[in-house]
Amino acid sequence: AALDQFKSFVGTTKSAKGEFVQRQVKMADGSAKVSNESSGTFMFARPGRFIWTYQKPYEQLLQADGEKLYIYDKDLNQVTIRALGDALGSSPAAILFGSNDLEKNFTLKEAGTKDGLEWLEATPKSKDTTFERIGIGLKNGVPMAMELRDSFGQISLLSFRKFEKNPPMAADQFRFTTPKGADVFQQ
Amino acid sequence: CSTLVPPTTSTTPTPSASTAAERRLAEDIEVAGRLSLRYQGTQREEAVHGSFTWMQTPSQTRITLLSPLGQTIALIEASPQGASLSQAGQPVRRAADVDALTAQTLGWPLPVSGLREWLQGIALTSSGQRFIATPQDSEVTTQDGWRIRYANWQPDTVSPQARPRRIDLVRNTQQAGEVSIRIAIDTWQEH
Repeated sequence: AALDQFKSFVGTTKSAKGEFVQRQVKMADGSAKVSNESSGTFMFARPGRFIWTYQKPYEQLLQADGEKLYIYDKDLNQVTIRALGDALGSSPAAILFGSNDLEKNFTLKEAGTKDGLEWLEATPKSKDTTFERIGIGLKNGVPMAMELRDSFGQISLLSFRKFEKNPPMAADQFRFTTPKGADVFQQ
Repeated sequence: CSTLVPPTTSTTPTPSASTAAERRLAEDIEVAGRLSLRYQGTQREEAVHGSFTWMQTPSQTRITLLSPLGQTIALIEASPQGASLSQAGQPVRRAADVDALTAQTLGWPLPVSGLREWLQGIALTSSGQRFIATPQDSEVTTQDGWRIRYANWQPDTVSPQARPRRIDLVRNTQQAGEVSIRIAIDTWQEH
């Protein structure tokens, strides 16, 4: 079931890369309204290193090199840098890319089968996160989708494609270089 | 100058003053985009980064601030009856004035009342004159001290109906030091 698929995923996946599509789902008077779709690529290596790149409809980058979190937005021409610390803690990044003692920050429970995937539900233990619940849909031991539900009922649906486990990666794969001309803000 | 360069035949149409002045304030709009903000927090400089949706009618403004991955950080509503702000896991906060409410609750001023016009490139200058932003005339200091620069335009900086694509706002505030807001507008719908 989902829990053992996830445990085997965490245990055997040191790094991964692939593509994602993100859709916002707003429940408006009973019906689900899907809006602003974005897509891009992701790459991660445990613990705490990832590159989450939005390519469409705009260019934005969330990158962690294990110590710092970098947020770059091309249109805003700005890079914000802050200590990774617990920024990862109870965020979806922690589920896929964080250290593998997930049960420290989340309570995990089976959530049955849906759309051909076996689902796991992760509820953050700490209350000061913007998440109420995170769903992870797995197939053949690999996450194929995530449902991020916030406390306003807003849901972000992430679906993954071309998920590649433990691909070859350069040593400095996660080193961040500031794009030319971007304003840098160190928090 | 060298005569080898052929004289340019077509000159690109610069928006004449009239088309810019004709820009009227759209009454019902729905805007979505990204926002980054820097301000002086209680202990250190803070930065907020996320996206927003903005729904505006003649009497109401409804704003959602979202994290990069799309989780709601705050929901702000303002109408003549007053303003409310709700954040995840906290009771709804209310106040008569939305700008005071955001400054108190979020720790940084989001000039909601002003943005109702500034998002559309219209402002009141510090001397009380009506200012219409164009690619050629893109900077203004507003009556309440915000220095605004329309840094980018949509679809380009030439067509007469160009609309703001990126807006930078800076203001020195007593509560949060220098506040710098950058807004990138992605979608724009007039009803």
